Amino acid sequence: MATLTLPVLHDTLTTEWGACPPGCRACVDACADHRAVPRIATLDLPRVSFHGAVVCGQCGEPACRDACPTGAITREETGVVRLDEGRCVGCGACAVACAWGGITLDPQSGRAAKCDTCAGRPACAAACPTGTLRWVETSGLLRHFGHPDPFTKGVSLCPGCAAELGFRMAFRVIGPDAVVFAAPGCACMLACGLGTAATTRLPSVMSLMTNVPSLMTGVARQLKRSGARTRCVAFAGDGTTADVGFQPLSGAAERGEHIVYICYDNEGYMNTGVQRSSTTLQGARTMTTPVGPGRAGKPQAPKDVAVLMAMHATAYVATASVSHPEDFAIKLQRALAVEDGLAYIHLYAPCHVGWQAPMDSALEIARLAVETRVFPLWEARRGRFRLTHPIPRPRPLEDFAGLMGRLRHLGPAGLETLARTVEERYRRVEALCSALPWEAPGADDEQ
Amino acid sequence: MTTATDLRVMDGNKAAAMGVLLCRPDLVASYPISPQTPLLEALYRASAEGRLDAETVEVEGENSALSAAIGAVAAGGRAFTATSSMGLMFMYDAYLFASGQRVPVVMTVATREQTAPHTVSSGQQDIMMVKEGGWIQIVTESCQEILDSILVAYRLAEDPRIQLPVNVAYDGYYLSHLSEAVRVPEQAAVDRFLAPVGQGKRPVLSAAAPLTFGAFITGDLYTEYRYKHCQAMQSALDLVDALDGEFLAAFGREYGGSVETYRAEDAEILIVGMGSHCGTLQVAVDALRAQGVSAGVARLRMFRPFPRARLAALMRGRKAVGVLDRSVCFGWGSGHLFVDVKAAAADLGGAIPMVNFIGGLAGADLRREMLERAVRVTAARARGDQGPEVVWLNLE
Amino acid sequence: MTATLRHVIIGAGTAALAAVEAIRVGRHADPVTLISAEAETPYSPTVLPHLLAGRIAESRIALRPPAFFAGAATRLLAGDPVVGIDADRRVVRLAGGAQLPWDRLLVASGSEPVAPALLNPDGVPLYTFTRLADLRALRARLEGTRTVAVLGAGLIGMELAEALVHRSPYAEVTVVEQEPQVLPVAFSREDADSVRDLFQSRGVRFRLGCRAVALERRGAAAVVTLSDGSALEVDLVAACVGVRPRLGFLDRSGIAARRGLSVDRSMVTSVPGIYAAGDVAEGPSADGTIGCHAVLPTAAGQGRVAGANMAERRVEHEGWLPANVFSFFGRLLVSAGVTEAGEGHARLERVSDGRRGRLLLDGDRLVGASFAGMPADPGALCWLIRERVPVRAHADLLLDRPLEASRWLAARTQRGAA
Repeated sequence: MATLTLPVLHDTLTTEWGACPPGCRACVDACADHRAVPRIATLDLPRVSFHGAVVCGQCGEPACRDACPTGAITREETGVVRLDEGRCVGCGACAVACAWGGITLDPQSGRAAKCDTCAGRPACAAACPTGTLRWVETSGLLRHFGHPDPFTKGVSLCPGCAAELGFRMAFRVIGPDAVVFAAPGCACMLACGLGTAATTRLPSVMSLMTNVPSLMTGVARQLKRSGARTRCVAFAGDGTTADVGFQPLSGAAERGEHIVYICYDNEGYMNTGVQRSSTTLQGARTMTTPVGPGRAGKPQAPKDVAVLMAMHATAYVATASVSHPEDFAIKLQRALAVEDGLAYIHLYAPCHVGWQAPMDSALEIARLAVETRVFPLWEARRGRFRLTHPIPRPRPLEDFAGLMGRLRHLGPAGLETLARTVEERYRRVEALCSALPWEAPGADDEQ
Repeated sequence: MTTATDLRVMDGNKAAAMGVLLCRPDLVASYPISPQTPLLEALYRASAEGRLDAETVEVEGENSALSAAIGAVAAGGRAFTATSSMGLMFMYDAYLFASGQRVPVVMTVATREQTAPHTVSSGQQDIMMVKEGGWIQIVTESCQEILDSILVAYRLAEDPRIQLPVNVAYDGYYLSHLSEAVRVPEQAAVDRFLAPVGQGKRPVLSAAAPLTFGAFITGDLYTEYRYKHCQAMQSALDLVDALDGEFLAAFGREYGGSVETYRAEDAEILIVGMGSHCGTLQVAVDALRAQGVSAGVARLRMFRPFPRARLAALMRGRKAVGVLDRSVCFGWGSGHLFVDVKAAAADLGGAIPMVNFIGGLAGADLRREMLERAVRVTAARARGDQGPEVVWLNLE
Repeated sequence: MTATLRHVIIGAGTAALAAVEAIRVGRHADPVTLISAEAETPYSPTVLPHLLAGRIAESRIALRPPAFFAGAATRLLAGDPVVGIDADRRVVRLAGGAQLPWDRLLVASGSEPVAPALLNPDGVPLYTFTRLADLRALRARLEGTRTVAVLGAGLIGMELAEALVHRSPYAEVTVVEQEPQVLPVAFSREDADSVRDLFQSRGVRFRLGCRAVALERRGAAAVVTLSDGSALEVDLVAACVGVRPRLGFLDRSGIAARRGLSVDRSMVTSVPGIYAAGDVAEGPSADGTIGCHAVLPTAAGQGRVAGANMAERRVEHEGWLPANVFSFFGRLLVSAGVTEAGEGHARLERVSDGRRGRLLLDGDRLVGASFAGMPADPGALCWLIRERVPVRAHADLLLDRPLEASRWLAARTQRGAA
C-alpha cells in the first residue's frame, strides 16, 4: 500500500500585501542592522497610495538557484534558499530569473543578496510594528500532521465526507496520547467500533449526545490524577453540541475542564437523514425545514455556538474549516497547549449529501463559506477575539449559495436575508475583536 | 469480633458522607437537590478541610454529575455521586449508560417523591422509576446502615464478577435528616475490607492499552451483553449475602444480606417492607404479638436484583403476606414492591392471601397505629376475610 | 506515475542541472546520467572572466556539491564526450565506446566559440574563452603579457577585457568590434557608450566599427590587421566574436536543427523523447519568434521545463526574453526586452546625474526597458513585458522609481489584484 507523503512545509515570511504604514522602513532598518545590504525592500509609493514590503518567498523550485553560474544559491532542507555571498560574482542572472522581487542587487558591487530568514528568527518580522510582515511557522504543521492516522479505513461514512476528513486531520495533529470522545452522529463511526472490531487505535469513548463534556470531565480528571498527560478530545456534531448537549458543554467550559472539544458543524442532523439543527444556515432546506408554498427553508439565523462558548471566557475558542487545514492545525495546537481550561474548536464541515451538492464539493463549499464571510475564521483567548483569516473583500454570496441545492430555492429576497445575517455575524465578530485586544500567545505555544 | 469504632451522632446524610470518605473516592460530582444536598456539602467541607483527597466537580445538572462519575470510573478511578427524585430522572440516559457499560459507580439516593404534583417530601417513587435501569439497588433502614451499605456497595460494584453500578437508597428526611448514633469504622479496617477491589483490577481507558468504551453493536453481541448483565445481577444476590458475613467479621454488624427479618421465624403472617418505616413496623408487630397476632417482618435490603428465591422461601407456609409500599405502580394500581412480591409468591405454587398497603407518599405520616392496622388487616386476610387488594393507608 | 524512466542528459551545465532538479521534484528514484565532455566538476562558462579576474577561486565554482552526484540515482560521466545518438535504438554513444540507453534524452551541450573569419597564414594562436581549458591556456600565456587584442565586444569580450584590466592595471587591452557600439544587441547604443566610456576611463582601448581581417606573427608578438587598414601589434589575441550551439555530435541523428535544435514550448525536439535546452535549443521567445538565446536564466528555465516534461509533468516554457545585467566598475546596467525602439513603439527616457532610464512601449504595454546607474529589478521588468502588463499609466513612476514601481506592478498581477 502506498504511503501518503505530506507536502513538505517550511516556515516562511509573509506580508499582508500593501498594508504597510506609509514611510515605514522598520523592516529594512532591522535587516540593515544585521546585513550590509538589506534583503527586504519596502515599496513606498505614495503617488499610487501603495505601501508594501517585498521579500524572497523561498521558492520550492527556485529559478535563481537554477540560473546561478557558481552554485552560490542552494535550497536547504529547511526550505531556505541561501545565497553564499562568497561565491557570488555579481552576474545578475538570479535577478533576471526572479520575477518576485526576491533578489537585491547591490548597485555598488553589483553582487546579489537575498533573504535567508535570519535562521528562522527574522529581524524584520520582529521589528514590524503592524504585524503586516509575519514569520509563519508552517514547518510546525508538518510535524503536527505527522502522526499516523489512528482510524481504520473503510468506515461507513459517505464518500467525500468533510467531517471524516476533519476527524482524521485532527488526530494527525493530536497524536496517540489522547482519548477520543464521540457521540451518536456521523463521525462517531470512526471512534465507536463496530461489534468486536475497533475502528481506531486510540482509546475511544462513544458517549451519549447529552453528556460528552461531562464524561470527558470525569475521564480527564481521573487521568490527570493518575499522572497521565493523555488528552481528552471530543469530536462531536452540531446537533450534540449546539442542541441537546449544549448544557454540559456550557458547564464544562464554565468550570474550565481541561478538555478539548471539537464540534464538526455540518449544519444538521445528517446521520438521521438531514433534519435542521440550531446551526443550520438560514433559508436552508432540510427534511424538517422543507420548501413549499408556505415555507422556504429554515427561517431562523444559525446559533453562533463558538461565540457563545467564547462568552464563557473560555481558555481558548476558535472556528476552523476543513478547507483551511493549516489554520485548523495551528488552532488545534493552541487548543492542546491550553493548560488551565477548556478549548473549543468549531470546525466547519459541509455535508454534501445533506446540502445537496456534488460528492467532491465539500472542500470547495467550505472554502467559499470562508471567502464569502458565511463562516468567519477567528480565535479567542478568554474572550479576547481576533480574526485569523480576515475577509476584507468577500466574494459574492451567490458563489457560495450556487454550490448547493439546499439554498437553490432562495430568490433575491431570501438571499438578501441570508446576506444580512451573514454580514451581521461577521460584523459581530469584528466588533468582538475590537472590544478587547487579542493577547499574543507566548512563544512557547506558538510552535 | 470487635473492631475499634467511633460512636458519633449524625444524620443520614452525614452518615452517607462518612461512608463515602472511608471509601476514598477519586471523584465526587454533585448537583444540589433536596434532601441529599447536605451529604454533598459534607463532602465538600471534607475536601476543603483536607479530609477528602478527590476531584470535586460542581456540575451544571444531574446528568452531568453521573456522567462525570462514569468518566472517572471508566478511567480507573472510584467515583461517587448522589441525587434525589427529579435529579434521578434527569440523569436517566446516563443512568442507563452506566449500567449498560458496566460502570461500577456508586450513587446514593435520598429518596423523594416524584413530581408532579410538586412536592419535595419523602417517598420511594424515585427509585421505583429507575428499577429497570440495570443498577443494583440497596435500600437501607438506619443511618448506620447507610454508612455500612456504602462500603458494601463499592465491594459489590467493583467486584470483577459484578461490574455494575449500585444505588444505596435511604428515605429522604426520615433518614437523611434523622440524627442517630452511628459507629464509624476505622479507616484501616475499611481499607482492608475494600482491598479486594479497586484500581488496577479492571480494564480502563488508557492511551497505553487502548479500548473502545461504548462500542456500537447489534444482534447477537447485544444479546450477549444483556445476558451477561442479567447473570451479573443474579450473582449480586449471592455476593451481597456473602459480603454480609464478611462485613460482620470485619465490623461486627450484619444485616441479613438481601433480606432482613424480624420475628419472622414462627410468624403466621409476614409483612414485607423496605426502608425506614420497617422500624415502625417492628414496633407494630411487637404490639400485635402482645395481642396474640403471630406476625413478622421481612425487610428487603436489596430491591434490584430482586431476592426472589429468599423471599419465596420466607413466604413459604405463611397464611398471609402484607406488603407495605411507599410508591405507586400506575400500571397495576398497587405498589411496586407488591407486584414483585406477588410474582415471587407465584414460585410457591399455592395461593397465599396478599394485601398491599400504600402509605407515606410525599411525607404523609405512617404512624404506629396505621401500621398496626396494616398488620391486623393482613391477619384478617389470613383468616379468610375479603377486602380490597390495595389499602391506601393515608386515605382511610 | 509510470514506471522508472532512464534519463540521459548530454551536458552538465545550467540547463542540464535545472533539468535534474525538475526531474527530482516528482521522481526521486529515476536514474539520471549526465555526460560532460570535459573532465571537470560541472561549472558554468559565465564564471571564466571572474576566475581570470581573481574575483572567485576555482574551488568555489562548482554548480553542485559533490554529494549531488554521489547518490545512486544521479550519475556524472565527465570527460567522455558523446559522439553520436541513435534515436531509433535510443542509445547515446560515447567516445570511450560505451553506449547508454535512455528513455528520455536531453541535449544540453551548450555553446562553442565561433572562429573569426580572418586570414591567419602563420597560425597565430587565437585564444577563445568558453571553457576552463581555455582559461588555463590563456592564463598560462598571460604571464609576461602586456598587450592583448580582444576580438569582439559582446558580453564575453567585454568581460574578458574587464578581467584583464582588473587582473593587471598595466595591461593594455584593445577591443575590436565590427558594430559601432560595444555590447550590441544586449544594450542600447547610449547605454553601451556609457559602458565604453567607463572602460576607456580604466585604460581599455576600443576599435569600433571595424573588424580583424588578418593575423601575422612578428617575433613573439602578433599583428592584427583591421578592416580600416590599421594594424595592432599585441602579445596575445583573444577571439570572442560569438558562440554557436555545440551540435557536431548530432550529425545523422535525425533531429531537426536549424541554427540550434528546434524545440517547441515543452522543449521537445522533432524526435519524441529527445529534448533540448539551453544554448543548444532553438525555441520560441516570449513573443513567439524562434531563436537561440544563450543566457543563464533562459538556460535554467528551459532546463526546468525540459526536466519536468521528461518526468511526465506537462509544463510549457514561457519563451525566452532578452534580459541582461552588466555590472562593472560600480555601474549597474539592467536591460529587459528589446533594446531599440521598433515601429510604432513609444520611447520614454529620463537622464540625470549619470542615470539613464528608458522605456519602450507598444501602446499600453512595455516591450523594453533599460536602466543605467540606478537600482532596477530585471526580473520584475521581464515579468511586466512577458505578461503584457499595462504600464503606460505608471510610466513616470517606472522611470522615477524603477525598482519599486516594477515590483509593485508585477506583484499586482502576480497576486491577481491587477
